[in-house]
Amino acid sequence: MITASYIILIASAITASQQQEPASAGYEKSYVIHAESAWLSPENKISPAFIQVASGKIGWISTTDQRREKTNILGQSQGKGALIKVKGTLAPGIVDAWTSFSPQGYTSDRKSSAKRDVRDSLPVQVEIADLQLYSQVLAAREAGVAAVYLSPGWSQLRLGVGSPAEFTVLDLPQVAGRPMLDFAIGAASGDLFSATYNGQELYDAFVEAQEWRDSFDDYDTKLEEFPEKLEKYQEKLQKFIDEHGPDASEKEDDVDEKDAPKPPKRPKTPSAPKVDGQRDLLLAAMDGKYAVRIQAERLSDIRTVLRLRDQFNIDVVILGGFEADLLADELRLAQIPVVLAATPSHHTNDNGRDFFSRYQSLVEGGVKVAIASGGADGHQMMLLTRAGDLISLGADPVTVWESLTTVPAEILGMGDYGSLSRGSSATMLLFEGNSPFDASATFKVHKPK
Amino acid sequence: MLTTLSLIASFTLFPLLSPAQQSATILAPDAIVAADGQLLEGYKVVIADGKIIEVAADPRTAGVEVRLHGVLSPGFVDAFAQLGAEIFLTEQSDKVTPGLLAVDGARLDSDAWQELAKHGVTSAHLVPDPTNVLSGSGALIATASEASVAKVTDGQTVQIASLLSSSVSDGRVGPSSLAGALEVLHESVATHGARALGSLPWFFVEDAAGTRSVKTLMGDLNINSAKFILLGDPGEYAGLFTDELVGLPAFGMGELARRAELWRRMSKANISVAFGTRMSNIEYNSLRSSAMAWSRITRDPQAAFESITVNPATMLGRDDIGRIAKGARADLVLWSAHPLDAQARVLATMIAGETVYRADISTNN
Repeated sequence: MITASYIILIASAITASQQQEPASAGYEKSYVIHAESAWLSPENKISPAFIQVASGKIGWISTTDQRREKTNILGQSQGKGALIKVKGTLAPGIVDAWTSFSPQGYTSDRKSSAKRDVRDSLPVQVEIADLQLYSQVLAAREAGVAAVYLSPGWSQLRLGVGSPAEFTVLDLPQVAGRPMLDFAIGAASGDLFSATYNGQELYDAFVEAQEWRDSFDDYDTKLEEFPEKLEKYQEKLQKFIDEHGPDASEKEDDVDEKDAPKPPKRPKTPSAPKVDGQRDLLLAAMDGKYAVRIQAERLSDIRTVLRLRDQFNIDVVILGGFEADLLADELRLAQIPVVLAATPSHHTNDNGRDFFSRYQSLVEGGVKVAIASGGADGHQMMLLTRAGDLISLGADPVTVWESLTTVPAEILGMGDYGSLSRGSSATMLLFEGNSPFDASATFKVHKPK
Repeated sequence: MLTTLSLIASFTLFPLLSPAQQSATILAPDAIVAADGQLLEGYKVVIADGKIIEVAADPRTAGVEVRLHGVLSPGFVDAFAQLGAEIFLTEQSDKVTPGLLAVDGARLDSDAWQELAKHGVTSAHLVPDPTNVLSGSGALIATASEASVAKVTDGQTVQIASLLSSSVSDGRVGPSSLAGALEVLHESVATHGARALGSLPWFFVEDAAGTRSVKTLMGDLNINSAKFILLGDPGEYAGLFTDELVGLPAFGMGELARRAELWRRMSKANISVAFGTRMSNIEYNSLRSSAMAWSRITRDPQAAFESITVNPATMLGRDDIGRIAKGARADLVLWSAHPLDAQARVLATMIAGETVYRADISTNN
């Protein structure tokens, strides 16, 4: 435990170039929280802890009160500002990189559009227009979740564009981070008849998109060359007319058709390749505009993901990854993170391959692993206890904690979540037990004001 | 409050005890978990003949003192279980089968029982499938023994009745609706009197209509002890159980986010719960996971601990399991920390004074 007084000045991991101008989440208040301690990581706890919160972000963290007395223009003291004293230990809010949260209608559409985009479908007033999503958000917040991923759907090969989301002061989801393109292949796609093929189908779609792009390049060339070809054709045509007369190409009854003089063929006007919204999304992913999330459980499907990464250099994340641990070395080399569901999925059977052994194999193999609710509604409340289970079975506490915080934040492109540091989100856990994993004591969530 | 109870290689597990060998053994853990879930440091538990005979900081009973590094908790009680059943615990030839005994389908040498003991569950109330209006009697099972088999503590506990329309109206010989099920229930009572239900009937219910009807019937029969296990969506009818103790399926897969809000409201209405693993996702850790979730959601760790210890025992009308108290059976579990701390692990399990499980620390399992 560190007792010396100091201010932690850890620069936010996120770079300015990665961030879009964030929309306001409505946090306006500035205050300092005085807690018994702050849990920076399982091995780094400071006590006591003073954390300044301003506009929903952490300003500074210290073991002493760093507030300075403010004065007005007349030099009169205005005090030091608000200090809120709380019992317990503060820790960063957790980040759920794989949820079932979708706008209304996304879950009931039998045949949804693969081009739909969560960002366009999120109602402004979720609390009125989408009660289910609103209740999901409230439950997640109560469970200590500070940021989530809004999915464009599930159980289909092509799902559309999803987005990470943070929460506003009114507990409403607000898109943040980087948008991502979602797919589910193999058993995860839920299509029993074509599950075997749709990994290949996805691969082929990327190949087709690449070929289309190549053909677009051909079109440009052809378009450039077309005037010259036309000119040559006109020259040949003129020559033909000069040699055979203007009616030479007309067929005469007594002349065999094959012996009739043939005029030159007019070059075809190059036709533009057909535009396709689905393909455009794949191309945008290849250009790095979207990261690609693929729910892939079985070995063959995970190999497909590795091929996609290798062939098209897309920024890809595996969801589920029931057998991903069997390819841990390949995933580490390809720098593909895996988001594991903390609760069993109906697509998988834990028999003999329990959550702990799969998690441990991946992290020992050097793969970055996030632990998420995995599309099981309301299971955010189980994230901390499932993570605690991993530790009780022998997993490294620091790695497990990162799997709940910094790793999912990085996957979602939300570098200002997952840690207690300057500039980070001030949505925090406040626990009274030995750790955030201890449910024998009370647990609260600090929401910025 | 105990702050840190890290797992250390030098901890002492339970001595290998069997009732025949011992006179009195004084267990001196780092802390015990009181009935309200709080850790009490400095208390010792004296056991003899398979029972707890004294709990005190300075016991008067003489005996061999054994120092235990860890937290001593009462074993968990599964209020309504199905693990360890050899066959389907149902009889489809009649619409009422009050004579069916769940114990007849129990496979006492099943590995499932041993696994439950490893996860801190020392008692499981095996119940018949609630597929008949009167489904039969449950059985209380001690999950392990020194001989590595489960033991029957009580072969005939409570009469299980069911008003689950999805179960009792499947077109066999049973009724075809809730109304029909209620008719069968009334007929049974009219034919056999209150004896048909026993002194402590348990009703599986899933809606307000069924619950109200049963409560009215129980009032008519002067049976005040009836207990209810809430299935379906208790959000629609849990309000009928303010200030009562009810059974609730353990937290499983496919739960809805609104369950958190339901549990919060049930807690506010002072509804106590006893978790059972019947009709829910089965994991050996389900009871404990559910209690941890209840703690997180309701901010009430005490009620959470009681939901898997004292409350299921109370539902069964027993005060000898689910608690560390004088006179209770010595069903004790040594944990590396408070059992509701997710980082805690079971170090040893004792049932009726017999050590039935000791963790192998070399393999970390």
